[in-house]
Amino acid sequence: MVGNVTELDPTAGSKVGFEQEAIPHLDAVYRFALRLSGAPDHAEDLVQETFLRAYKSWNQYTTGTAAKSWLFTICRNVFLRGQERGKRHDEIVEENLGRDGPGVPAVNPIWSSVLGADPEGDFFESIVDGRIVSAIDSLPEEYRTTVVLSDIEGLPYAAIAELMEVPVGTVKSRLFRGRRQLQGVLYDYAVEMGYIADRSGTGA
Amino acid sequence: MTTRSRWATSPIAQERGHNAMSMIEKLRALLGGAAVKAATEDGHESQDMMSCEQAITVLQEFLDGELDQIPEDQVRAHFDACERCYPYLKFEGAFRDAVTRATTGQTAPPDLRAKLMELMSQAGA
Ligand SMILES: [Zn+2]
Repeated sequence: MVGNVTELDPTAGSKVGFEQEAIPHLDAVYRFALRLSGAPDHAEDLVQETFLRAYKSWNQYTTGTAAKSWLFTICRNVFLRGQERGKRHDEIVEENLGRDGPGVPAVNPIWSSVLGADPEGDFFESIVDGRIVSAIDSLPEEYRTTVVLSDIEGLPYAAIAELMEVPVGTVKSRLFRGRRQLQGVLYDYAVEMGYIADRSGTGA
Repeated sequence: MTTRSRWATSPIAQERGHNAMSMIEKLRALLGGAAVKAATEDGHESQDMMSCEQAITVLQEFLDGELDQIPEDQVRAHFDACERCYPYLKFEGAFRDAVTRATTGQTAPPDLRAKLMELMSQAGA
């Protein structure tokens, strides 16, 4: 409406910048919040809190940097703080997760399960959206967040590492383990549903 | 449903401190000589082609567009030519397609944007 608002009024300019740079990520932040919290009304609260905080600290944000990652960071921090007040049911102890030690073997154990029956993973196509989403939601938060940020939001390893405040190696490890856990859940479901013969070859 | 996914094409080159060799070493121990043997039996020109162990080791990075030590073309060439490794690429691709397909339709409720705008004007501009 008014020309050169940004130059005349820094506060109004900041609001314009926020609407242009932060609001377009609303769907992505909502999707992320939904996967973090697992419930639409909780996700809405989370999104509102995220954008309110982002808005209040908008002067700390540098134009041109990754607004989406910044919003995800705020969103996750808000979520985790809420978790601390409540119960922390899905905490993982990174060290206990593998016989494999700190590294992740590149050979996926599930490949041998599907060998002969469905080596190219056609069964994934048979699984309905809701079932895949609930399988993602069943992952521990660290895995869930990593898988969601990489496989759904397409963030690079480096951005996820910065967001979660862990080294890139940890991102890769969580990503690989999270994907395998998710594949395992979906594989079991596919066997149960008869989309795939079980590993003994006797399943329907 | 055929979803053309980002991992098939995106060449995101990120500088990372990943040591591919140590993982290959680890994998060699896991696989023994079987993979190399299978590759040569498939009729590969093994002196030009990366090994199956190498290909499998970098599969996730390849699909993520995060290769940092091996050119994308070289990895693609292996999976295109190797009967043994190709299904693994397809399997991981099918998994990612399913995750993408199951979640992309999700958008914020229509009234949430309006709520945010109201919230922000209350917060003061
Ligand atoms: Zn191979």
